[in-house]
Amino acid sequence: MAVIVSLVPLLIIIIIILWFVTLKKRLTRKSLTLRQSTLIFIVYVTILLITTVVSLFLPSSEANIIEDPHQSEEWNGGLYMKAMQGEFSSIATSKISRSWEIPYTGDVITLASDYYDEGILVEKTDELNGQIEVYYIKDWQTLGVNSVSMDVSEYTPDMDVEMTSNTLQFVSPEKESTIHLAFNDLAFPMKQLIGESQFGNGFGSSGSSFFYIRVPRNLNVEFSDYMYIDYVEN
Amino acid sequence: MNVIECEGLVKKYGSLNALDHISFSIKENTITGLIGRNGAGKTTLLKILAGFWRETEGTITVFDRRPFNNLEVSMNSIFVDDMMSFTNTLNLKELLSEAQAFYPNWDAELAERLLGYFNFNPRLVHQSLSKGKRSTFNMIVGLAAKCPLTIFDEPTTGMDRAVRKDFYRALLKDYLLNPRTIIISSHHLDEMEDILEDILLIDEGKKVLQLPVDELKEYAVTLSGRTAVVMQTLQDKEVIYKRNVDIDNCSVVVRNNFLHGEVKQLGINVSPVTPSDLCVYLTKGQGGGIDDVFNKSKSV
Amino acid sequence: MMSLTKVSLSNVVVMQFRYKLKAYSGVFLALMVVQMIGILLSILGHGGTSFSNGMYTVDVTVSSPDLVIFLTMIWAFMNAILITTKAYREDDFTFVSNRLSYNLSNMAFLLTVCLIGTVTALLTTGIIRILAYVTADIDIFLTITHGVTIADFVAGGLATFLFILLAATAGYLVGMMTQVNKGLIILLPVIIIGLNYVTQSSSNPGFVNMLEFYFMEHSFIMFSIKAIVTILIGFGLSIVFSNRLEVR
Repeated sequence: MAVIVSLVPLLIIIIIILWFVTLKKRLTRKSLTLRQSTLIFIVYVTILLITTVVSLFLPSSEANIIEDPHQSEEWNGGLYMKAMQGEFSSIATSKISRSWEIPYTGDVITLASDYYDEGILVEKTDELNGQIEVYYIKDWQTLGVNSVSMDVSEYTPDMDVEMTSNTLQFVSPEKESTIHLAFNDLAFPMKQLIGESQFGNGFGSSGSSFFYIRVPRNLNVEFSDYMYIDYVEN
Repeated sequence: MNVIECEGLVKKYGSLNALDHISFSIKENTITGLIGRNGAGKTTLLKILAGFWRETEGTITVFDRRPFNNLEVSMNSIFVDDMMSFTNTLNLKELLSEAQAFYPNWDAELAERLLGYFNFNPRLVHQSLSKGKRSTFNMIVGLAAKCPLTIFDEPTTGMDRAVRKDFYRALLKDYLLNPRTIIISSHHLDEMEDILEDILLIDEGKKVLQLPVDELKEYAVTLSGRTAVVMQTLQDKEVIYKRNVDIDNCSVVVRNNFLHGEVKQLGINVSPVTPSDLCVYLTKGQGGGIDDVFNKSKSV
Repeated sequence: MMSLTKVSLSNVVVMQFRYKLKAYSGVFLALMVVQMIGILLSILGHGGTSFSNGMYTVDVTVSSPDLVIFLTMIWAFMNAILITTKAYREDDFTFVSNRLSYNLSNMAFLLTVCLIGTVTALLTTGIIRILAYVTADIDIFLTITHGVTIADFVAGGLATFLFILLAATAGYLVGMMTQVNKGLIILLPVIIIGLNYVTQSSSNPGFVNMLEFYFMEHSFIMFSIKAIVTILIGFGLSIVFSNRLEVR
């Protein structure tokens, strides 16, 4: 289906060319008078002008374009590595998408999840007693759109956590949701002069988000094998 | 002063010479009829004069300039034929005002009046006109432009007889008011010989003759009488064309450069030849006319 | 006697240009039709990406005036061919003209219609946005404005104009070559293959290099120089080719 759709513009271009060629003799054999065609064209330009003005008032937000995805350290799991090296406090609060403070007095806590397959970092600290802190950190979610890559993490739904007796459950949103984004790309000559690549695709979709859990030092953390869990080095 | 000077002009299409070393000149402020049979090279000659086509050999000057690609020649001349192309986004009235922008001598009042006289709907477009109407409109453009050199190539194509007569009258009147050099090629020489001053007759790319019309009227006479008698007198005469030759009677067209008295004494009838007929005879080649095609058995 | 009128080339060119704007007004309607098709196709077949990880799907539909600009380039190419054809040429030579004034007024005409085509093509951005917004069920509407200055927009607009004009130049040259001699059509593939051979490099076939020559140039100054030089060469060759053309 996608192939057919992508062929449609090509097909129509060919039809236009053929149309021009067959009309080569005289485009305006039975044409409108100068006055009529001027009028029609003025109407067309007026519509374009009006819609241009109207389009400026469409509710829109700025796309978060990733300039140079391959070289920036930040896009290579930077935050996770940082946090793992004990520099959680240096992570910008804007990256912390949700946080929970849960009172907990047990000796053992079990971590469980349904679909969640991204990273979980556990920090054992002396600062906490009788409670645990859970942070959901959304670093980035890139999506290749045409020739650019943009970060769409701020539009993706957040994970939730649920505490039941001694189990901390990471819960995905209730049903699978679809986020519809519309992106207005610049015209290609502008992109070209800004220095963006004309051809090829932006790099594919991948993301980085993780849970950061602070627990009292003496709390035992248990989890099943299939979960990716690291401990903060401190 | 000569407006057009042409010396040894050749136009080749492949191996065919459409114009074959033709030389002539046309004086300023004259009306010249360019006469010739189909394919004689009339249109080729006129298009070279107008600067549309390129000569292969020879020299041609119009207003002392080589016409091909010359803007000044284009500015001061107009070429009118039935193939004149006008845009169909503009109606006739708008076309006339566009033409006005191009031609400095444009006579808008004349154009307007002629448009009215010939019952044109000024809101029509050129392509929607009938063939005759189109020719009439082109003629109006040609007249109103008042170019120092005005060329009409078969201007009367499709016009009915009444319109043709009007056209010749309009042309003559306008010429008297605004003398200029006009060249008309046409098949209807008999209709327009009254307005022409000179005639340039060409055949197969060559000039046959160029004479004032008055001289052309005197150029030849027809001798008719008994064959034996006529044939005898022909010996010292320039025979142009023999027609209706049979055993008893014949009539022969000869150059009119002898005294008529002595021939008349022999009982031969001497009658004038119209320029129109003469042009036909001069370009017919030897061996008679269309009749011969059908008279296979008889040879001259 | 009637005195000869002195003429200046520029006067005749201006008169012919003004006549052409009226006589060839059909090209504006064609432009409109082509761009409307472009707008429709932009809405129907807009490119997009989606990403799904089992928990959510992100679906992005992209709209840009690229297709409209591309179709406008084709329009410019075809129009340039069209105005070199006999029917259009005869309109010119009905009135005062020589080949130089004919070419110059054609170029002025192409310049003008390409400018109008550029402006309308860029203006379709608005209607494409609105239609994309209206036709699809959109949660968030993303645009790029940060880091794009007015100067970028102006430079981009000029670059669009030059692209469209390049297409027109190509069409005009091709059209003029075929008018002068139909045999020159055969030369075209030869030239293209030859250029392809000359410009090929170890990594790319020639046509990719040729496309990159224009489409991958990020410096506005360099791009303008490349485009303008190409356009001047193209028009210059057209004038040379047509200078011996017989008309009517």
